Amino acid sequence: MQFLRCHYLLIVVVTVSILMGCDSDREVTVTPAQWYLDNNEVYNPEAVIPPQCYTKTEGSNNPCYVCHQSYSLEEQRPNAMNDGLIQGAYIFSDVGVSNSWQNLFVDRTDLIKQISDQEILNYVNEDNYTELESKLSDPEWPAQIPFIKNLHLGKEAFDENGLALDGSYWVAYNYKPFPSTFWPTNGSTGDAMVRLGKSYRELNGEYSFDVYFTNLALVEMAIKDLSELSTIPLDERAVGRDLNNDGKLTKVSRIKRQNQYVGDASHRPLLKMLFPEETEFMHTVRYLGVDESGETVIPKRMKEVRYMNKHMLRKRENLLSTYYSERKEKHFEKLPRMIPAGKRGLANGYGWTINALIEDKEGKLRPQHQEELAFCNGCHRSVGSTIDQTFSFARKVEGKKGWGYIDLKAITDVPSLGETQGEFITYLERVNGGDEFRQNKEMIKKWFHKNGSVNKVKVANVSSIHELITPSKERALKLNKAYKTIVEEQSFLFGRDATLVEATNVLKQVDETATPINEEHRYVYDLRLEWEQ
Amino acid sequence: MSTLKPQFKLSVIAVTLTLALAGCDLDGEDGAQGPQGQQGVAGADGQNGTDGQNGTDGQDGANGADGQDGANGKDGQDAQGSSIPGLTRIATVPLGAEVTGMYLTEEGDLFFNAQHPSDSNITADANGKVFNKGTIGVITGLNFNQIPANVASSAVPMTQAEMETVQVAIGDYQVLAQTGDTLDGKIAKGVGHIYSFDGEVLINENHNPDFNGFVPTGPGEGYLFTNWELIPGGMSRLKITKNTDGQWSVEEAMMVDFSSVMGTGANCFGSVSPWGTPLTAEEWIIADDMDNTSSGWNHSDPSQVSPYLEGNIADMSNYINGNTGGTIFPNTYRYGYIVEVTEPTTASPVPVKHFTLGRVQHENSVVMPDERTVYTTQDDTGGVLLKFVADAAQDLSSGTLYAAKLTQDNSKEPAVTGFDVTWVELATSNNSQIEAWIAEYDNISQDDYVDGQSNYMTVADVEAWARGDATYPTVENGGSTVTAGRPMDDRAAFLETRQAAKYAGATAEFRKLEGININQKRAKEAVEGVDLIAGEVVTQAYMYFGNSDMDKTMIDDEGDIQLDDRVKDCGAVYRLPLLANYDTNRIEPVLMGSTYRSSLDKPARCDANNITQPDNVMVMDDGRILIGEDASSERTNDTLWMYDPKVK
Repeated sequence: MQFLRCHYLLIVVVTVSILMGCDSDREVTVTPAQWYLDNNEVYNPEAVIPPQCYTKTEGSNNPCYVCHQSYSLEEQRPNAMNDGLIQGAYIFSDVGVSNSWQNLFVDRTDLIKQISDQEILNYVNEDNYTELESKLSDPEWPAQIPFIKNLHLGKEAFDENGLALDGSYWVAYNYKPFPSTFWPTNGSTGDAMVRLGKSYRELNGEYSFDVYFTNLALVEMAIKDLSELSTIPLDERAVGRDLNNDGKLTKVSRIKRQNQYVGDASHRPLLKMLFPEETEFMHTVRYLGVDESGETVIPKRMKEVRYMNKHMLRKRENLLSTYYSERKEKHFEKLPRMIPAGKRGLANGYGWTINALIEDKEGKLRPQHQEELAFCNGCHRSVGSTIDQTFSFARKVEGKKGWGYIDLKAITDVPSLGETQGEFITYLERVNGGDEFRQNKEMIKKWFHKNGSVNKVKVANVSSIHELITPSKERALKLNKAYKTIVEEQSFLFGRDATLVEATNVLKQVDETATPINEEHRYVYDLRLEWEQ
Repeated sequence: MSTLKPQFKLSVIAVTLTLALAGCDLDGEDGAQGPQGQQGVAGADGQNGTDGQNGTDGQDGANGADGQDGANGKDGQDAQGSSIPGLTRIATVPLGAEVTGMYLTEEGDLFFNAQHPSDSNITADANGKVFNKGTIGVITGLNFNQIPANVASSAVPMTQAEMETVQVAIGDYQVLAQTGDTLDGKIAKGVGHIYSFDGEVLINENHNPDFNGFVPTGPGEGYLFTNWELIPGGMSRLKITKNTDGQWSVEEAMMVDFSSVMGTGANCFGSVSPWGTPLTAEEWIIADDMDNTSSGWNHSDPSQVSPYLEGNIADMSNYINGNTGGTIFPNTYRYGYIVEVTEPTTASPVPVKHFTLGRVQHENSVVMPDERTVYTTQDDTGGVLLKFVADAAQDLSSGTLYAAKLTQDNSKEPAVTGFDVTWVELATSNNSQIEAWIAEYDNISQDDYVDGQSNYMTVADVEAWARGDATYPTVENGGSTVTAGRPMDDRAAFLETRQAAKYAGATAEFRKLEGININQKRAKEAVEGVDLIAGEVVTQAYMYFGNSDMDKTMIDDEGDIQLDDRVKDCGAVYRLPLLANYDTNRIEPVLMGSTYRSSLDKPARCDANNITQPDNVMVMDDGRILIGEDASSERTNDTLWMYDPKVK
């Protein structure tokens, strides 16, 4: 066909011919995202720059600080990105200067109107996960991601300690969602599960609950750099180590950091802020469920299943080599290198492979395209604030209380590490809004005074963060509908944020000479939390 | 490789299909996703056979008429072979890696490395090697100097397994060492692991093997020197011998000790001098840019200078001081040089920093057969091309430094546009004089930084030198605190070489000027008339360099280089004719990258069948050249090419 010969010159026209036939109406000028997927065309080689980075900061509205941080070199963090200065300067490649997230600029009001409330409620309460079991167990299926039985039911898939009931050794944990993309009021609910490698679960080749939960606690101490931690009661005799250093082997509920893991992993060292090899994470992103009382709950339907697998443990000195390459490539404005890993998904370059499923047009979960996966690397590759390229585990409710399926009602607005004021209230103040784009009017109406300042008294009086960061029923339904229209378009390449109307606080083109955030509005931030307060 | 052969065959079929179906340059290198194989029967694209050089595979483009079934463009896979006569794909390196360290020995052994392959690669090659670490290796099974002219290109990797391993057109690739290998205890701390001077602190585990240089000690044996590029960097030395089956064994291994020269950083490419000493090049360790000197090195807030400076300084300090309790702040003027590894085959090789060759982001230097003339490239935006002439043969410690001044032909199209070259003399000096100047900056630290002033040389200092002022400017007039008001000297030429060249009227506009190389025998035969190449009378020899990115200062419609912006990241290989006394007066394109397709086609942006971001060049005895890529995001698997400039 003729259009293939010239497609790279005239993508727009090409698209039209595909859609409408060659004699079609030439007024159609938008290339659908599906076209790029079908043709393996890269739409946005800078898919690693998330839409949030294009927010109009006006020098003072700063959502940037939660990702872009530099820490004292004396801390010897394995994350050597040290990109705190990005709060103060746009350092984009030529491609990155243009905002490719065109879904931000779509007014979905009319599209939303075409979906009834009942229709969307039915939709989000449908199970689109169970049917994956056969697909995910098929080695020929194009995405290798583990399956957890009944995960669509959330809490019911796990026991009181968070351990999966299906014997898969996945463990659910409760964590404070990262501000503010992961707040339900901005579009989605979600959960997270961790699983350690076989040798971290066993002693002499036999599964041991005590060994597994000791190692989980040790991982938590390594990631958060803690010296001791409360645990589910553990039997030191079963573990074979004096975990609280009291000279006796007894049942303990608080343990000290060890130099080595226990069980069959007893020869493996704890490395500060690094997960051990073979650690896996599962994270489902879901619609906003609404219960009878109008409260936000986690529904069955998943927007995405996201999975990370630490295929290689690389210590700090080893990772420095990759940070060097990354910096050098950035310095010469090269586009980010995306490394396909076949059925395992995409490499992030720092020891992890990333894989994910997303809804197809009919709402069934399908493997994500490489470019859709590249979007994951925006946050899980080279930002400074992450710990071992991840967010949620470092934000797990500390110790014993943090094991179990996510429960926002059990979490208050604790401060980020080193701060005294609540993390979320601080975020609202620094961003001057309830989302990166300051377009969540409900959040502004609920938590801000008319003069634009945060209503601190009101925020301080919430019983849990659930009250603070979940939407009204009306908003929840609208957000669900808006996202569903993106699913129908399969236009994730253009952005996955469920925005209701055209974003106004977003740059289409970045003026690199501008200063994103003036000096007095730049902040130091640690994504870990002060649970003791 | 044998385990992969069936996949090769599959690849061939699939490629044929693609040509038949798409019949154009659709091929997006993303073959992994698109096995729309059922349409394959169409395979009869006989008319593709035009690029006979590559035999099996059709050339794109000519056969558009076939394209009826084109809707399946998903296949988007590259054709094999190449779209340029004389260009052969010799090897591809695993996912995430760039091709580095090409080195072809007199005996026909071709070494090359996979620099920073992805840690996610899991496929083992036929010898059980997995390419998830920095990898040094060599092609075995043939004398590469005698590689047949009609060797078929290796396939563009299509399966995940092919993408994750080294694929070669001919012979086998043998891994000699990978990052961290202890080689049966021969190197307890691991190849490519960089320790502090006192040996106590591990600074980095380096996945960036770069330059290889082989110093033979007899038939089938010698020392392989390999750069490890990071800050700080280093160099490994493997004593290797070739067994009767053609496979190599590592007999000894060590990391060269650079502490006598205050260490080394960002060891990039290099060369071996005609007298058998490796020359390693310190590259990306200078915190300067096209408009600034290194004046911000000790800034109290390093992030004001560069996002990377603080970490670099911390790692360099740690490297120098280790656990000694010392607090030496690294002197920026001790880094950024060509370092000659003298006494290379002794138990303790002795590094010598040749300050005389100038201080820039050195890609590498190459010494001419006269053993006095040296050409050097700067790998940065707004870079320079340098020439040095030593006072005496085999002694680079004293001589005169020049920088190239370019005059562009009356055209802008990169493929047909060359440049006349004249040489601007910068200064004459020697290592001990320059080191005395450098030592004046030894005791500076961040404590000495004063906002608005500089302890290091400033642009004002360099300008004063270029103007011929009698004294250095005062601090008030923008001069360095170290030289303020003192009598002028020539340190600017050697410590801030780029700015010196620029203000002396030379051209500082290259963009990623990469490896520069010659074939010693061809050069000597052409220039001195000594018959060294059997079966050929060489009357004209060339020096080649890679220019990996024709962007920014090269296409900005300003200054001496004002090319059209057609090629950009696809890059080019240029050559310079060697004249009497190994002088040269001309740069001309010899292999130009394709038109950069900004429409964001996957890695085929530069055409999978042409060079992409050529990084280093090696010249064979018969005049063919080898080109290694650092293609980054523009390609899925970086490629080692062979090109015959004589093919019309």
